[in-house]
Amino acid sequence: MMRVTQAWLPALAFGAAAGAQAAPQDDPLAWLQRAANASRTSAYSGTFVHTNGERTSTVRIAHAIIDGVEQERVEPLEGQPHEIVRRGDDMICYMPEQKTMRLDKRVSARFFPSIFRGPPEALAENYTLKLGNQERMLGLDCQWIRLDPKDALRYAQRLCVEVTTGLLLRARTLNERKQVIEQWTFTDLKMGSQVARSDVKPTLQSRVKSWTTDAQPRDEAKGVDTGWEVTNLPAGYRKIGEMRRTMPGRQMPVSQIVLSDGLATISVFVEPAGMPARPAEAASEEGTTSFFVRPAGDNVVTVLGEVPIAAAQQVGRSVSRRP
Amino acid sequence: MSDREIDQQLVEKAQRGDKRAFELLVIKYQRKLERLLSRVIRDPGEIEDVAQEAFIKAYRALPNFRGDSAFYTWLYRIGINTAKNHLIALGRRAPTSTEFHSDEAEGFEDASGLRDINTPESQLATKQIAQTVNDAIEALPEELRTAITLREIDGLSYEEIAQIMNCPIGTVRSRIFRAREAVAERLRPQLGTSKDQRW
Amino acid sequence: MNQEISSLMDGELDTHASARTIGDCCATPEGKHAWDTYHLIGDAMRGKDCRPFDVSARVMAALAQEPTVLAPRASSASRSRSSTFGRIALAAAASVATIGVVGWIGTQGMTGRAPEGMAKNEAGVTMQANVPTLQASTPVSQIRPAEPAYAAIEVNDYLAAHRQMPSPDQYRTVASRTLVPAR
Repeated sequence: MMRVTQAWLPALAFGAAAGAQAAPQDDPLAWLQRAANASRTSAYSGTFVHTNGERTSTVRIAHAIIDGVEQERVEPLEGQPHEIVRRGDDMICYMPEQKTMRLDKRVSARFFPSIFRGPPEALAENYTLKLGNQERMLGLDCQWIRLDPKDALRYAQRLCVEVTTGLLLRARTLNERKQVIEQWTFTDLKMGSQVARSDVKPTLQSRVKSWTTDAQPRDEAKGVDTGWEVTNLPAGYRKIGEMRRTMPGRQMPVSQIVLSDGLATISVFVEPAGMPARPAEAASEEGTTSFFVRPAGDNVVTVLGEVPIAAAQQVGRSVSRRP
Repeated sequence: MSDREIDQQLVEKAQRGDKRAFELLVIKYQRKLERLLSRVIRDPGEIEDVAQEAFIKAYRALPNFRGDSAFYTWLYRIGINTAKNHLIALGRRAPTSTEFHSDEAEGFEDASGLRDINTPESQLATKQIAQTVNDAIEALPEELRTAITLREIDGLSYEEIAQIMNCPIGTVRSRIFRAREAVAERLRPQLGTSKDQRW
Repeated sequence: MNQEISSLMDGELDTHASARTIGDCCATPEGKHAWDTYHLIGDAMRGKDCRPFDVSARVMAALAQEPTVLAPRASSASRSRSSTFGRIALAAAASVATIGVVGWIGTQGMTGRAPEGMAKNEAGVTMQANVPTLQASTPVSQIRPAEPAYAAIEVNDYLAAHRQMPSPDQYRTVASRTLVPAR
């Protein structure tokens, strides 16, 4: 089948074996790779709405590469005013009501439109990838990509990417009945040359005359051996992080292990049990987020993730001390 | 509908927490699993223990089941692994002549039929079951016999059987059901209704 | 009913009827017996060994002790309308008591209304150093009655740790407590 090839971004690496079969436009994996790249390399500025179950939040986001450095500004519009401004790997969270600037290193957590937590190729093991329709959104042509889970341990995803830049414009999570249980969608968007330098600069700085700086690391140690492990990983999930962090209300740091299948993420927390200790497991789902608590001897295991409860249970029930 | 599609329905219900659907899978496959396990484990009590453990493992692992293999193939692998672990724990080894390839899962049965782990009574009972069923099938009115044979031996769907027998699907449904009921009626004295005689 | 069991085992029932029959079939010993016998007949016709073997009762009895493997489902109607993250319906394992207990788990000062998950600063609290409190031996939130007084689950804390995003919520205060530096 002959197709007119378009000018594709030269930075793309398809990673396929020599003699790749599908033309890039027909290959859902290629689209996913473009989407992964676009969130890192494109300039964009806009507002998106995130709905999860019955919760809604609105976020302003701007991103650009300026003088070779990746810069970003994120401002959630609910709750107390705050904004997170990033330059490369350094983040500052301005919280005017607390008069505090919190310094952090760049987070690796999933945040729209950078939703991938691993190379897109890995997704093909756990999801069946297909292209869907093209649609027009915000005056732009976009392509839907369908990711259907191969088992009951993750949710289906529908991603809509803008055809020229590959930027993710809308992302949906579906349950097994194909009902939308979570969605991110841009409601207004500027791209490329329409993005101003000032869009990625802090705006709340001027509200406070004298800021307190909090530079204390929240994660006491990253890549640490917490002494815990998940022995029965749900199919397709890998450990992508392990750390100890201080958490409010606790005297001892909490161990955290982070698992991901490349899209869906699960955090496992282990800490000494409070008093009185909970005798039974408890589980709950809210939107896409599953929450599972399990007593384990003197400790308590808490599992949280954008996954079906069965995955959270399987993880939580197989946490044990590393021998 | 193939066996695989039928099982997939049950699996999906079980994955959603419906234990009754899982029970139907257990009842459907327990004898087949026993035939598999008896190739490597001789003691009937141990076979029961290992079978139970395999089913429980299967239940726990259900969310991991992807439907890219048939349910029984998947169960078969769990059964094999459980049996192996059992033997290792007891310091025994599986008979070396036994091959554990999954492509054997479908349809491979021990050709020697009766095994020496059986008591003479159960050997006899097994023979009687087979005899009773085959006699009963022979005794059926022709249209019932044809319908159930096309279904159970040839694996045809009701639609296909309706075309071959040139009758409505509802008639096929009814004939297959009546055939089964007639045979079940003949089996009743042998199967009994008390639990310990449950086949 | 047995005719439906016969159709069910051949995969010739529609989804709705299948679901109903699975329920009916397993609800009675007669139904299970029919399911079993019909499969036995097929096995015998195909020349398979029909040795007596039944572990289903013991398997299901053992599984009754197993925590139920809950599968994905949408926000169900049975969960109530307004929801912040603080509010969780705790569904305990099937084998243990407290099933479906609904509790409000909120951070201090929260009105419990969606979507803000952020605590407000209590008036009159002095913040000596703007670091998250590390010293609070009592739970900072309440669960409404009908639930034993277990330590509250601070969902928002875990959520923030999971999302790894800094937010003012991590700087919430406990009512009438002054924060102390975390050194």
